Parts: sequence; structure tokens; C-alpha cells
Amino acid sequence: MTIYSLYIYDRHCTCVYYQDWHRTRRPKPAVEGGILPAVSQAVVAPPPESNNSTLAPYSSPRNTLTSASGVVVAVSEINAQSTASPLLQAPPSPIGVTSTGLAFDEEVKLVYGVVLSLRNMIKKLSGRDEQFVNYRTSAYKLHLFETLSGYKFVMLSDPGTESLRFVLRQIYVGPFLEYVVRNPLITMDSKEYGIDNEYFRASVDRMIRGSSFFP
Amino acid sequence: MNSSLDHLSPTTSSARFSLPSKSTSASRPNIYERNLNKSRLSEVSAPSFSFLFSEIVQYTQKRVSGINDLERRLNTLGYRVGSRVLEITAYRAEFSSKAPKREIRLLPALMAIHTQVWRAVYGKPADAIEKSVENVDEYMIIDNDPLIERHISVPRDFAGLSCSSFSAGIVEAVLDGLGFPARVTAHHTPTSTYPTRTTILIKLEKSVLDREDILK
Amino acid sequence: MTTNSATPVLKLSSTSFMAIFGLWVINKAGGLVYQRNFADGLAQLTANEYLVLAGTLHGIHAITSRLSPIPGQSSGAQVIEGETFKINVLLTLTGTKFVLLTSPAEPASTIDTLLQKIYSTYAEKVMQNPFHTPEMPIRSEAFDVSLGGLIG
Repeated sequence: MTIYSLYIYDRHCTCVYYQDWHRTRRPKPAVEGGILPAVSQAVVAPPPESNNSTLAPYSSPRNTLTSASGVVVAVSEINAQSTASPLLQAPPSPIGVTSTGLAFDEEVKLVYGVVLSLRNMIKKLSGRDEQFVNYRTSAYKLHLFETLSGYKFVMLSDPGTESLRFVLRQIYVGPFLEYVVRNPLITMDSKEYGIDNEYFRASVDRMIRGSSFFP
Repeated sequence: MNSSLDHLSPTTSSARFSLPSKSTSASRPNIYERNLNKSRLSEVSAPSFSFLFSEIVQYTQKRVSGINDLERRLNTLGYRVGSRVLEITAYRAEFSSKAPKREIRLLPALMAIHTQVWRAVYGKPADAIEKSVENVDEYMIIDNDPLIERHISVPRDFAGLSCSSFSAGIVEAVLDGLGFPARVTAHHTPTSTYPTRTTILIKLEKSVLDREDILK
Repeated sequence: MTTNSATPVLKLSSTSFMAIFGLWVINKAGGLVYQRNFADGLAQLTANEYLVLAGTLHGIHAITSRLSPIPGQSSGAQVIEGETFKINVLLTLTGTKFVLLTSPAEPASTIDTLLQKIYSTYAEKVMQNPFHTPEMPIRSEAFDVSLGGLIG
């Protein structure tokens, strides 16, 4: 069983975090302004110079992320420029990586749109306050876990996987509480920044790699 | 085997027809090359027939102005089939006989329609022949589950329409061909066990009844 | 099935029972051409609401096939799960969708077989009926009766 990617959305419908594993078909980098800073380095276009200067006053870990200029193809360069752990960078792209043809910011919106529509559809059909759990296509399976505070954890895995809701819940009660909620340098609900930070990324990564689903 | 005839065959000479490829037609000759007398194994797929008949009804429906008109047209189409069916069933039944015969009495003729014609067209005999109690000139052939009605669901605003008018046309042609002119109509007479049960009503011309009386 | 399903005990059991709640047929343009409920357990919606949901499902189905994280073609969503029911989708080569709402316990193989049977019934009773206009709402007594036999 394989886990492909993780998206976290806040209650304002914006993507605040993204991470992927074994994903062999990637989106194009997001257009500038398409997604918040500090969501994931792997999927943003290199910011122009002017942008860098406005972000300069910040020195929080998340800021090193946004200021690191680099795209997926230029991993060694990023390492040279930033002091951040290699985990924060995109994993070196395998040779066979192809593109979905979608920019990352569009992909993020589509994923959210699908999740929200299905959530509403399930509620409407059941006539109760029932949650949408997952859906499966021939190529992948999408899992949703929604917190009471409106955060949505979305995970893509291979279609044969059992429900991964509990994994998403573990991410929520573990790394998310520990390194996002209790992290004073992360402004939750900021509408301006994502929640990416070194410890959270490393911790989620460790959790996923350590789980029994990881090949 | 018949390579010299290839250019004459309507199927091998052109690609316009999507008929079975040569390899299959070698083991099983296509419909034009089959022996006229062999009726076994010359079956047509039921869905293909259903789709064709469905198209016939739709085509006809576009060109008529009411249920009666539609039934009349289906009857006419059936009539053209019936006159050919009579020809081939008569040929198949009698070609080997030393003294070929033709039915001249009504009941044997009806029996022939009930059994031979139905089997040739629908692959099974009809279910009953009845004589009307009220009218001496009326006879009925009953099919509990007509093949052509199997997938047809007549909408409410077409109430009373029976697509078996096509079968009625066949019967009318056969009777005509045998010398029993009649007016034949189809009626939907469902029962709880047979929701598509259909009655083919035959109203014979007076001349036929008169002749029957003489022959008695 | 149960006349007094208001009691919590029966409500619980109704979710663990295998059940088929309903069937939709969605044409290739996303229009709902057939909708029928078979068992209680889901909300009773108006015809218009079903129409909207079918349109939504049609759109989602198209998007889900584009979100695949791996190379190669992905189908659209085949099974969508809620907590007490799931939505099973069969997309035919011609673009018609058969959507079966069932209890989550219903095994995938049973549902696949059933959807195939429904498809073949549709081919017979709907497509071979001269009074049916393709892509338009299905009004066929024969189809209703045959489905009743399949699903009960």
C-alpha cells in the first residue's frame, strides 16, 4: 500500500499544508499568489526578487521556507542556499515524474471542491449530519478527516488501501497539535501563511514512513 | 471453392457491408449462400432483431398521425414479410414431397400459421387458436409472450397500441396467399402471468365462410 | 420493512443490514433520467434535489479522474463512502452512469454484478424500446418491473 500525498485545508477553504510521497505525477508549480506562502516548497514557483525583500523581516522557520528560491528541479541549489533540513525541500524528483498538466494552486482548489461537494452530497442524501469518508477511483483513493474546528485533512493513497481516517486523526492529534497548534511561530487562521515548518514536516514524514502502509 | 463467383457475391465484392469476415463465412456460409432448405442453425440474435424492430417502429412513428395510422403501417410492413414467409415455408414443407399440396380448408391453414409460420418467424409456435363465440367469422391466434413485444413498453398516451400489428400483417399476407382474404388486427390482452400476451384477431371475408360451407 | 424504525435499536440494525437504497441513471450530459428508491434509510428528497445532486456527481466524477497522483488514465470515482451508506458508480463506454446507493456492508463483487445486470436490463428494456428517446427520462414499465425483480 502506498500513500501519495497529504493536503491540509483550514476553515477558510485555503490549503495550508502539502506534502507528498512516491508521487510520480506532479502538478506544475503554482502561479504566484495562487497559494499561500509556507504550504510546501515543492510546489511553488520561485518568488521574484521584490517578494523576497518584503518577507525579509521575518526570521521564523516558515520564513526561511518562503524565501528559499527553488523549484523541484533545483534541489542541490536550495540546499546550498538555505540552512533548512533536507526534509523541507522537495525530494529529488525521480526520472519518471510526469505532470498532471494542472498548476498546483488549481489542483488544490479542485481537491477542495471535490471534497466539499461530496461532503455536502453525503449530508444531503443521508438527511443527517453524516461525514464523507473516502472515495476510490481505479488509480487512487482519497480520504477525508475533518476536525470540529473545520480543518480538513485529505490524503491520497493507492486504491486498495483500507480507510486511512485514523492515520489522518493521528496526524491531527500528534504532529499537528504538537508543532502547529502549540507552535507560537505559526499563526493559525492567518489567511496569509500556511503552517509548514520543519518539525511538523519531519514528524509527519516519520509517522507516515513508520506506518504499516508505507512500502 | 467459389472464387469464380466472388465478384458476383454482394458480400465479398465490397466493404460497404459489415458482415462476418471471410474466415467465419468459410466455416459457416453467409445468409445469401446458405441452403434455402436448411432452417436449423440459421438463427438471428434476439437483441439485433429487437434493435431493428425498434428502429422500424420509430421510423414509422415519425411518419404517421396517430395510433391507427401507425398500426396500419406496421401491418403493411408485416404484410410484405408475410408474403415471403408463406413462399419459403411452403417450399420448405413441400419441396421434397412427391405430391405437394396447398391448404384449402380454414382450420388446417390456421394450424399451419400457428405452427409453421410462427416457428419460421419467431422460432416457436404460437400458444393457441380460438374461435370467437360471438362472431362466426372471427378467429384468434394467441401468443403469450411475443418476441417482438418482449422489450416494448407502450407509454400511457399510446394506450391500445399493439406493435404486434406487424405480426397481424404477416398473418394477413399468409391467409391472403392461401386464398383466405381477411382483415387481421392485433390486440394487447395481458394476463397476470403473461403481461405481453397478444391476440391476433382474424376477421374473414364472407366469401371464405361461404366456400367453407360448400366444402363441408 | 420495519414499521416502528424510530426506536434506536432498529435504526442501528438497519445500517448493519445489507440494503440497496436507490438507483439513479445519469445520461452523458449529466441529466438524471431515472431515479428510484428501493429501501428506506436515506433522506426523501424532491425530484429537483435529486436532479441537482446527479448534476453535481457528474461534475465531480469528471474532476476525480484528473486528480490522479500517478501516471496513466484514472477512472472517475467508482465508490464514494459516507458513514452509513456508499455511492457506487458504473460508467459505461457510452457515458451513461448507473449509480447505486447501498449500505456500506454490501461487498464490492455483489455490487459490480448487480450493476452489470442493471446495465443489461437497461440495454434490453430501455434501449430496445421504440418508445424511448435516448438521453431522455426513462418511462418504461418493463424496466421498472425487471428492476423490481433484480433488486426487490
